[in-house]
Amino acid sequence: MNDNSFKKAIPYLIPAIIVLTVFTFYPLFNAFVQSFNRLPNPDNYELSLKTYQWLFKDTTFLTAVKNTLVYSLVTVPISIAISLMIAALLTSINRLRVFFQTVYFLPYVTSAVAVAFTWGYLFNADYGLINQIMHNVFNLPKIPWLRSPDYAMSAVMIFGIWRSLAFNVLILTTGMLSIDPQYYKAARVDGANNATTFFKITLPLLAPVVSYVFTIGLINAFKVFTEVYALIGSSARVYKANTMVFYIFDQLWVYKDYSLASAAAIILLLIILVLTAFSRWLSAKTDYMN
Amino acid sequence: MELRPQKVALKTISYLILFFFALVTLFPFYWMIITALKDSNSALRWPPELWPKTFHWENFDRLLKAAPFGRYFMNSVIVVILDLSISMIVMSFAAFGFAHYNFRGKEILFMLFLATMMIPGEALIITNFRTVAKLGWFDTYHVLFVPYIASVFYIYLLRQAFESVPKQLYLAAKVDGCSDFKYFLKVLLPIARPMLITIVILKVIASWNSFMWPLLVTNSSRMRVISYGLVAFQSEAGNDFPLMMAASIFTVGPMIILYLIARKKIIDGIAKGGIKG
Repeated sequence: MNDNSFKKAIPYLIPAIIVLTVFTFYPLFNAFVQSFNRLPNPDNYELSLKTYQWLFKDTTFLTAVKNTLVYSLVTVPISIAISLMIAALLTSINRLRVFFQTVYFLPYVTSAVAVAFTWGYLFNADYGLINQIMHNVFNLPKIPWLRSPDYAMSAVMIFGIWRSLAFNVLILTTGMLSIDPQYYKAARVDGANNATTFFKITLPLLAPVVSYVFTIGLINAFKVFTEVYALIGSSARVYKANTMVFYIFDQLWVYKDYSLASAAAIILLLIILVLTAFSRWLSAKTDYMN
Repeated sequence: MELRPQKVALKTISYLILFFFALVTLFPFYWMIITALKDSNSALRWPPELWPKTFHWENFDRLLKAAPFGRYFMNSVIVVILDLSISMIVMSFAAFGFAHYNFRGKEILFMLFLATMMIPGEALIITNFRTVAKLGWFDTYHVLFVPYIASVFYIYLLRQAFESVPKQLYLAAKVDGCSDFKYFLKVLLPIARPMLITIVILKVIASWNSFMWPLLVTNSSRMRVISYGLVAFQSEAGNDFPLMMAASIFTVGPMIILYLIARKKIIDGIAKGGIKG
């Protein structure tokens, strides 16, 4: 019976198994092996720990790690704080809620590249609206946002926060709307004001959802690439805006050094695995309902 | 009722804040559209035109003469259609295999599938880049989507949808002499239609907006998809912002239209567990 069932199932499963084997399992295994390969050419092998030693001595990589950390630790909390406020306001109104929700989610479905170019125009040193207003209205000096090591990362982070609001607002609003109204009724009977209700009821009940968007946000932030590439361009390294995935991309595309690219990818993979494990732990700990 | 004025003030402030953030969200899109219709010089001037005096629709003609955006656009459309038609077959087959049959090691195999969701695609791209090079797949349509046709997250969603169908339906179909495949095709797929539509829409968006992979595996301008075409055009356009914005409209326009049509499906689909960005 069992064997017969397996024979019947296999034609349905085989296409997915082949694709996943070739394009997911094998590359994962191979990235691991390559990361220990001393030779940059992947057809010859000489396994050693050298690649990782080089990687951690490579100042470009260390800058990339630092930039990725700064990007993640700045954009994720700010984005979630703003999203929490928007979600709280959205749940407190009835009229126009659908309209606002529709608007806020728009950046999620639109190409990061195309929107980044509009932001690139807004950030343009000479003709961008941001500098024009700063200069002509407030008499401040023009800032070379995208062409300076001091500001490039800030511009990427502003754009990153703007883009990530869409997902966070949606998930947090959905979470808040699913809180049982009974709790709020009870709070009102006890005479709790809005702020107390938010901090003593909404936030604790929402903790699993917040930890979920926090983790997803961190994972996506650690993988940031398109935002940098489209806004700053291939010279992101010069302007100190390169990130870990940018480093992988550079090693792969420009330097053809598969070993260093693999080693960097394995480090990224480890970070993401730790974040995933952490989120499991966090959501188990914060789930008061179950 | 002395609380009343305070409540009205609170409501007003709430709406003001919400409108402010709506403005922040929409402004770049407004600026994209309005700039695309300005003449090239007025896009550089202060004070900026918030509403152009004359609409320069000819910018779109200029754009199509400057770069083959029609071709890029069609490439994206072709890739999305091929991607969808093949991936929906592969994914629903796999989901059916898992949902309908019981064999030893099934759950272990499924766990192995699920585990891949934790792997960042960026770690796989290095080897996949070489694999497709060895296969001679550079500058083809299929290279752009084949590595991504078995999205485990969607297989997972489809398996759940298939498993929620009562077993009695299968037994009834069997009595009528229905084969397993016919049952899958004629009974399961129609019942799972809402889930299938959600997945199709989410996959269209992901496929249309994909960027890093096309950048790596296509070289010739004939095979460029729209996001890559846009990046390639940036260096040519220089400070001709209206052309750049017109090109951006080609890229975001179809997705905005899709979003306005299928807003509820998209939002519900993501809200129910859009783990994959």
